[in-house]
Formats: sequence, structure tokens, C-alpha cells
Amino acid sequence: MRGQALKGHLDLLLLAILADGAWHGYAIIDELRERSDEAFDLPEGTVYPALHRLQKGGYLSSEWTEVQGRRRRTYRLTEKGRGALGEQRLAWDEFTDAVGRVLKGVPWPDTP
Amino acid sequence: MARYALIDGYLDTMRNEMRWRRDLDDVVYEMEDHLYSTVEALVTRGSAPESAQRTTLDRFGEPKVLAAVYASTNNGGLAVPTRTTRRAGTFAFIAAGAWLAAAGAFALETIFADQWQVYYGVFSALILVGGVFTFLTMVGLGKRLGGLGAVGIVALAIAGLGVTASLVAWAIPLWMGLQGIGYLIFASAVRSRDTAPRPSTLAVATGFIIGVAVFIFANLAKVGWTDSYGDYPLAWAIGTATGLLILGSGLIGWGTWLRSEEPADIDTDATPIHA
Repeated sequence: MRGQALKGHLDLLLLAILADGAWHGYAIIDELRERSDEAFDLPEGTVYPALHRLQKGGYLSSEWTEVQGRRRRTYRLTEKGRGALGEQRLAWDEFTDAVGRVLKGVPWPDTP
Repeated sequence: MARYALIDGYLDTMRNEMRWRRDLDDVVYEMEDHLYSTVEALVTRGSAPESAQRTTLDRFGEPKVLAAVYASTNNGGLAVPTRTTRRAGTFAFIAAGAWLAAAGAFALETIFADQWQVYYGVFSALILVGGVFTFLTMVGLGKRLGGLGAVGIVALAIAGLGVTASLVAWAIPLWMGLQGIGYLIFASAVRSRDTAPRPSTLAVATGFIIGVAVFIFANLAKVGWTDSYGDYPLAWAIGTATGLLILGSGLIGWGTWLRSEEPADIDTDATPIHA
């Protein structure tokens, strides 16, 4: 799936992954790929600006540690982020339910 | 820790592409951790080091595209230095010079009351120049921050009204008050982006508001002597000079910062992923 298809949903996905605990960027992206069965194919570097934006918005907090001689930033969901995850998840469920109801009963078009 | 030449070269490129960022070190440290973690994982799974580096960089993204994504704002603008924003730095210096000189002209008008018409004329011209170039600085700074949206437009409109009002130079609380409100709103929007130097932004935000407050207080306190109009020239001078000096110092800070940034060379066609 191209990055454009993720437009509008990346925040929800990142919040969802961080609901399980504190993760650093590499692990978040790895988890995103694994949980989506490698469906989300976007330049990995574009995830970091999204994480920074979420942190600036108060949805995430972060802290630096040193691992194998490298500085590593680990992100964690804040209370505000947890609330936003709940709201966005509800909105997503309502959206997919509505789309499902519209599509239900519509036959698949014949493939040429 | 083993070093990988392709990764290090990529990090150097990213450093150059995003050289204006205040958080550059943090951004690059985070990239370094990601890229090295990826290469190490691929090498552990059997990839040759060079192949692992190429795969890692392919997956991470083109430097110019990534720099644009990092610079993109929520309203779709790009917060990067350009030739226009550097020019705005020059405008800030001109504005600051005009405001500071205006403070001097007003002081001379107060001291040499017999030649007040000459100094009043100079003061009138200088505050108009200061207002116009402060306005232009704000436009350029807004571009530097990727646009400030409706708040920025409202702030510019109020400041513009204040500049127009300064055609009546003696109505100091009016034009200084209007411009002060515009600068306060604008600088608050600038502050929220956390990019411009904070002390300068604070000075621009508060300069004219403090000036008007001092002006009113000094007049109510009847500081100094009265003139033929029944006004208190010293009280007027203290309030006016306070506002002009604080604003002027803030603009010097903005100008220094804007002029110090090399124009960026990034992919402005990049389409960042926004939530």
C-alpha cells in the first residue's frame, strides 16, 4: 500500500502501536510493518516527522537513552494521546461500519 | 560500534539539507539510530554490509524529499529559509533602525521644543518607514514559518491598520496600540512554532504594548512639565521611547536570525503524509 493511502490515518496507527508501551522509532516502524503484514509501504523516514508532530501536540512524550553507543529516542503515549486514540478509533470504527453497510449486498463487478 | 560509510554519507547529506533546524542534532541522532539498527538487522540476517546499507537507505527515503517532509507544516506550507526570508531579515534591520532613530528624533523634539516642527517631521517619516518595514518583515517571517494561517492574516491586518494610523503621528497611543496588538498576535503565532529566537519574539510581542502602558501611566502620573497644549512632553517621550526601543531590539534579533540562515534547497514537490 502506497504512503498516500495512509494519508489521514498515520497518526491513528502510531498512537495504536504506542498504546502497548514505550517504543523507539525503528521498533515502531518494524511493528507497523509486521502488524500490517507489510501492507504499508512508505518511506520509513517520513514516520519521524509524524512522531515529532504528535509529540509537539502533546499526544506523545519522549526520552533519550544511550544504547550501543548511540543516542536513542523512545516515545510514550500521554494521557492526551490515549484519549485521542480512543476518539480516533471510535471514529474509524464508525466510518468502516458505514462503508461496510453501503457495500453490503452490492455484487462484485465481473472481472474482464 | 562499526561505522558504515554509505550511512554516514547519507547522514552528512541530511545534516546539510536541514542545516537551519534548531533541533538538527536530535533529528540526525534519531536517524542514525534507525539507519544503523536497520543495517545491523539486515547484516545479522545474512546481507552483505554494502547491500544492507543500500536497502536501508532505499527504505528510509530520498534526502530532499525527507527534508521537505520535516519542514512541512500542518497547513501544507514549508517552513524553510529562502531568499525571500533572508530579505525579510534585511527589512527587520531597516525597521529596527527606523524605530530607534524615531526614538531619538522624539527625544530631540522634547528637548529642543523651539525646533519641534523639524523633529516632528523626521519622527513622522521614521515611524512610517519603521511600520512599513516591520510589516514586510512579518510577511517574510510568516513565509519562513510555512505560513501562519488566519491568525497571521488577522495580525497583519491589524498591524497594517496601525501603520496607516501612524500617518497621524501625534496620535501615538492609537497607532502604537493598534500596531502593538497586531505584533502581539503575530508574535504569539511565531512563538507557537518554536523556531524564531524567543527573546526577540517576546520583545516584538510586548514592545508597543508596554510602550502604550508606560505612556498612559506617565501621563496619569503627570511626569515632567506641561506644554502649551496641556500635555506632558516628558511623559510622551518616555512612553514612546520605551515602546520603540523594545520593538527595535526585538527586530534586530529577528533580523540577525533571518539573515544568518542560508536559503534551503529542498524538494518543494514532496507530498508529506499528514494525519
